[in-house]
Amino acid sequence: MTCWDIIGISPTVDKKAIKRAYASKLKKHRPDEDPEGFKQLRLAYEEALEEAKFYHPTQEQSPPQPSPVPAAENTTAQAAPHTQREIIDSDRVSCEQAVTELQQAVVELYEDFNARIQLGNWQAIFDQSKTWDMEVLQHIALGLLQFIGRNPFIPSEVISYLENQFAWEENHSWLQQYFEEDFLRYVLNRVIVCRWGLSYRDIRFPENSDLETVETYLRQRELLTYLLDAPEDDERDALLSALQGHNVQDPELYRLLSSLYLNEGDIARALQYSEQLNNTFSGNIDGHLRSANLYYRQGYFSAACSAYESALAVDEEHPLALKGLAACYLQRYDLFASKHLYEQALVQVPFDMEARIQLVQINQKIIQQGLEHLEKHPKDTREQRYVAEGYLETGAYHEAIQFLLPLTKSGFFSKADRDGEFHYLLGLAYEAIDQPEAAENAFNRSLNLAVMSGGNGYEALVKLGETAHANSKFKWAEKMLLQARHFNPESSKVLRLLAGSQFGLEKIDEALENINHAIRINSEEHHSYTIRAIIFMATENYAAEAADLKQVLEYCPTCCRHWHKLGLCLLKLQQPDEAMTAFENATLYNTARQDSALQWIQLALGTGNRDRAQLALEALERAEADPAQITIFKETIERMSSEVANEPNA
Amino acid sequence: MKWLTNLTPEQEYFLNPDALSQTQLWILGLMGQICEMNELRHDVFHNLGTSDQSRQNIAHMMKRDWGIESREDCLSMLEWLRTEGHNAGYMPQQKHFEGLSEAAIDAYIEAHDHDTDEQIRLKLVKAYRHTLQVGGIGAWDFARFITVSRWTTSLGLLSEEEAWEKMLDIAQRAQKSFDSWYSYGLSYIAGRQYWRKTLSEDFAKESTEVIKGLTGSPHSPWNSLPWDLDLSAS
Repeated sequence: MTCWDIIGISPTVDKKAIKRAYASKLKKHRPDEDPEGFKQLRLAYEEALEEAKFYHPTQEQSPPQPSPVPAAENTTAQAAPHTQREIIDSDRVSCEQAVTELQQAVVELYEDFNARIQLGNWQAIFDQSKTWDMEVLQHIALGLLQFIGRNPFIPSEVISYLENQFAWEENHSWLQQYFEEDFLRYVLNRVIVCRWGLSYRDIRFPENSDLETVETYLRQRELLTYLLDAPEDDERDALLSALQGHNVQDPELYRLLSSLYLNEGDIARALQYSEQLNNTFSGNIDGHLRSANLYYRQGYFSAACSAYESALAVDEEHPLALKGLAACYLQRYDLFASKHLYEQALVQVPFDMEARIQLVQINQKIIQQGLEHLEKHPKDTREQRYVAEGYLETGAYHEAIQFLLPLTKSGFFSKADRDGEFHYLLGLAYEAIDQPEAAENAFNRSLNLAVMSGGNGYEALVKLGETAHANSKFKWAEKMLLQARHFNPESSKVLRLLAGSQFGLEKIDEALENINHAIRINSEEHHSYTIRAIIFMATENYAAEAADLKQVLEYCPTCCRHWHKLGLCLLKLQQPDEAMTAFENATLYNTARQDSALQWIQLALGTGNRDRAQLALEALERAEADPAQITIFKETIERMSSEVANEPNA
Repeated sequence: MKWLTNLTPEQEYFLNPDALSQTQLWILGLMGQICEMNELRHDVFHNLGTSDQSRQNIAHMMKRDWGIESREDCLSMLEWLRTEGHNAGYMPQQKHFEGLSEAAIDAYIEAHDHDTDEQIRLKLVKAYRHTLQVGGIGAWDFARFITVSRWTTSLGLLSEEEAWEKMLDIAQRAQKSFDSWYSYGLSYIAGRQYWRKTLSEDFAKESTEVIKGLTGSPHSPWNSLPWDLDLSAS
């Protein structure tokens, strides 16, 4: 079994893809639950990262074959048995009879709690409502709404189903003819809020509970939700004692009681109820998460750890449970396990800053641990790599350089950097402190070492391409990036840089093809829209350019350069008002922008807009434009004012 | 931060040129991320300068971004940041989620699909509700309180003395609400995400770079001042 088989992806140079695959497999092999599996996975992961450096896609590889199309299933043979309750048959019974029978069916269904919470039972009654006679339909829509108003304890999926069948919300004005506004508002509001209301699943009533007992309990349970917001309610104690007197086993009740006591600062009782929830309904994630959070806050990290693990057993990708467990491992100083879990959480929620900040902290600790280890084992290249990466990940770039320089000098420790990885890290550190030449040298050396050792040098290629692109050395950039694309054709970054370089070489069609591909791969990368806007500008496709610039500005609304460009583009599209706004925004975010202020005032004067011209003049003054020019504009505006004043109707 | 890294001993001498106390530096450190983002000094009060041109720029910025043109505007903004801020919108949502099950939280977010901005904010609350249970996005308001106080003082709308007094009060609240520079930093960025209504990965990556600026330099407030510094010492 190869490392790729173990982490479950095809060979690639894309480290992100490897990390994602690793994070995904990690769910099944947690370090504490399956240490052997974890070890094997971890080795496979490191091996994959290593092999990625040497991966060369071969020409012989045949394109993926389409999966055989499965034969069409015999749907008629497997069709569900016809369960529709045939209540309505317009030819047979009168409207009145039909309505009466339907109402009776609903009442019977509601009276049996376990039947009422099954959506299928409601579907059996109402699935053919669309074919009903209009009169029957209207009667039932009205009757059912009234019924729900009086008997509201129905699961949200049933309510949603009924709303879908009878469209009460849409027919609000029609319903107003039949119901008091307050009642109508109450029921329709309930139709909406029940979607996130209390669940009816898994409630266990004592045997022989009658309808009244059930309804009383459910009503009191809802009242408890209001207590969460008004803990000092006079009825609190009576309500709690009544609810507990019913002896109902209900996950929502335990959860609500836990929340209530937590709000009141009674952590012990909050924990008691979350534990009761876990013990009675172990498949319910809410109790595990709540217990874990409470244990963690109390400093009981082992208990918190177990509770988070139980939560992950219910939902293996739950981000709060992943982060919580990672925090517990961090408390135990199990740095790598913690790091992996935070990385896994980031795969689930890429915007999560908690995981990102924790990773920075962990890297600080990894440096400390690594340096101690290196004192005893100074030639351990793996540990050296961890430390160097740690420095980069915490922003300690000067320390990274000081640490890496001896490792990258030939002779002493030269074996340490056989594949150029330390040179690559050194390049990153130089790049971060704005030393582009030193960075380029390091990346070049990294590439040479990688190639000499049979590797692909993919990451160094990307960096060299990026650096060359930034320095307008487009030919060299294209060469590097074409090689990089060969190794990873689906990297949006490579495609974007390649497009930028090809545009610099006036290879417009190729540039456009690559940038479109980059956007198809990652439509949220705003830099790609910037590049494409430039290409559209060059090809005089102003409408498309404006659309891309707006996309960029949505991400970066304070970027004056793009506002200015958008203004110019809108001018070409003969949209002077919108162009003025764009120029105005450019001056708003950069007061020194004379060119934007100048465009703005010229447009305002050209369109006879005196007020905006006055504002633009102020922007021009703030930008410290040529005083002679300012005077001319001032006079023009004054002239406009006096002309307006002298108009007969002014 | 570029100007603060790899300093010679002579250069280090010029750190804290106004000889601010540890408490004062700690207070200014509350807007550390804003300083990093704008490449400004952490260790001088008037970090945008006091020249006429600087004041003109500050005045423009205060009007543009805060609607502040007078002392009254300034005091009212500071009062809003102190008593409400964006945290006043965040905390009730977080409290609401505390009473809901996981499934109900998802359903609630789903039910807001007609309002993308609100949905984004709810997703942020969902992600951070355990970690920001106590302080919410308060750091976002605290940091901006310090920013407004500092820059309006450069404009002459507040005296330095009253600015320090107001900022100390906020600093003490910040210290109680969070347990480290890191948790304070998370609250600030979460607040920024909430305000910007963004779930963008790029935004998160850029914000991490700002954090690295604070963790990577030995001179940054995060590395040079303990979070639990005794703020009662002048």
